[in-house]
Amino acid sequence: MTHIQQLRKGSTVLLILSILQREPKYGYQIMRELERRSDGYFTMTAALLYPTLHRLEKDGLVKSEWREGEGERRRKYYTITEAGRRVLVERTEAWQTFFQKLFDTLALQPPLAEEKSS
Amino acid sequence: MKTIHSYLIQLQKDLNALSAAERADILAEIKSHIDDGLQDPQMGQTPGEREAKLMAEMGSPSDMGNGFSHIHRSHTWLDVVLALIPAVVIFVSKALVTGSTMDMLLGWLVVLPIYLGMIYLSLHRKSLMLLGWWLAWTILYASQTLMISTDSGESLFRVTQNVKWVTTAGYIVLLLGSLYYFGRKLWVWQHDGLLVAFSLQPIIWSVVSFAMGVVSIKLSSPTALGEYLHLFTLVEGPLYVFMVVLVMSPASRRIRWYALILSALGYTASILTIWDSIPPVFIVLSVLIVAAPIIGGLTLDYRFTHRNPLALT
Repeated sequence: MTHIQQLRKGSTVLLILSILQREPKYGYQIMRELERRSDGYFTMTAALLYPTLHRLEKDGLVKSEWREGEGERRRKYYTITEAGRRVLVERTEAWQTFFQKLFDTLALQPPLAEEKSS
Repeated sequence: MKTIHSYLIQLQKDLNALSAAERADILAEIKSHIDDGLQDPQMGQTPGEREAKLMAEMGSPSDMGNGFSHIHRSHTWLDVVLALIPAVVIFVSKALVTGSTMDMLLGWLVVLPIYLGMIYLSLHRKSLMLLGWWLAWTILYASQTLMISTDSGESLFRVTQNVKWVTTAGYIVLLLGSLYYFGRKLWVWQHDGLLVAFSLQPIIWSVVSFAMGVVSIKLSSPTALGEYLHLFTLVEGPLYVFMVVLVMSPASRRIRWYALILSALGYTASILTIWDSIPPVFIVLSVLIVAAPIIGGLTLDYRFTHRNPLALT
């Protein structure tokens, strides 16, 4: 797994919680919304999305409910819980700090080319 | 390219470690996802294009199955330890206790705090299955303690024959109540058939053994009872250890069923050793009571395992 793939995998929970923060959504909607918001940069297979949703539900960060709208099929909707919202805020702050520190640190380093020539 | 049907069939197999209800819920959700994709115009112009893109987005059914199995059975090892403690306690106490009145009372004093602690833990973990395990053992041991006779043969707690009959009746009510409750869980709420059958085993074994003792004494065949109890003491502990470790492990569902069936067969074999001393009707009834939840759970599991996943709504 490349480092970018690892970073993407590490951000899975954060991305799912952020998509659920405005309104309840079902799995297929979450996949499409993720693709739309990131212009196709972040994609998730169903094999990753659904077990992650079940893990979040088990941890109490989301709750699910089967709903059947008028003239619609039954779908399982996921809603973020208060605990989920707290985790979303904490993780967003953690990622912000991580990238801020990473970029600050990178800016302090000498360019790689100079380092090699010396 | 994997077709939708083969994907769902493979996923159904990879969810083998989960309960029937969990499998049905997951398959219905994935089927709903597939239906959404097939009807989404953004996925392609033709049905073939949509299916191809959708299947590319699904990921491997084995990865999905493993992901779900890991989540839904991730607590297993702690539960195994919690359920294993009575097995070890029973085995050790029966192996060490010589049978004197004082030994039995001391044994009860040692075991009681463990039982109460485990009941508290089961309630804390909201595990009905573990609670059933521990309540069954607590009730059994409490009633056995009440029945203790002194070394001179008198009832230690002055328990009359009437109290023994009332206790027996209480056991039968407890057994019928458990069968009714877990039966409803199995058929109406489609709870995990394997775990329901497993939860019922301690109470069934306890009640059958107790009733066997009462009937033997009534028929004045204490020798047969003695032989039976001796055999039961030898097999009970190892059978529980075997059953708990395998049934509650993350092993495949088939292996866990084999473990439960083998344990029940082992117990049944111990009943059959006193075939000559107990009325056959009573023995047949006992075997049926032991087998009933296992047959019920297996039937339900078979029905769900061989259900067509495309027919799910």
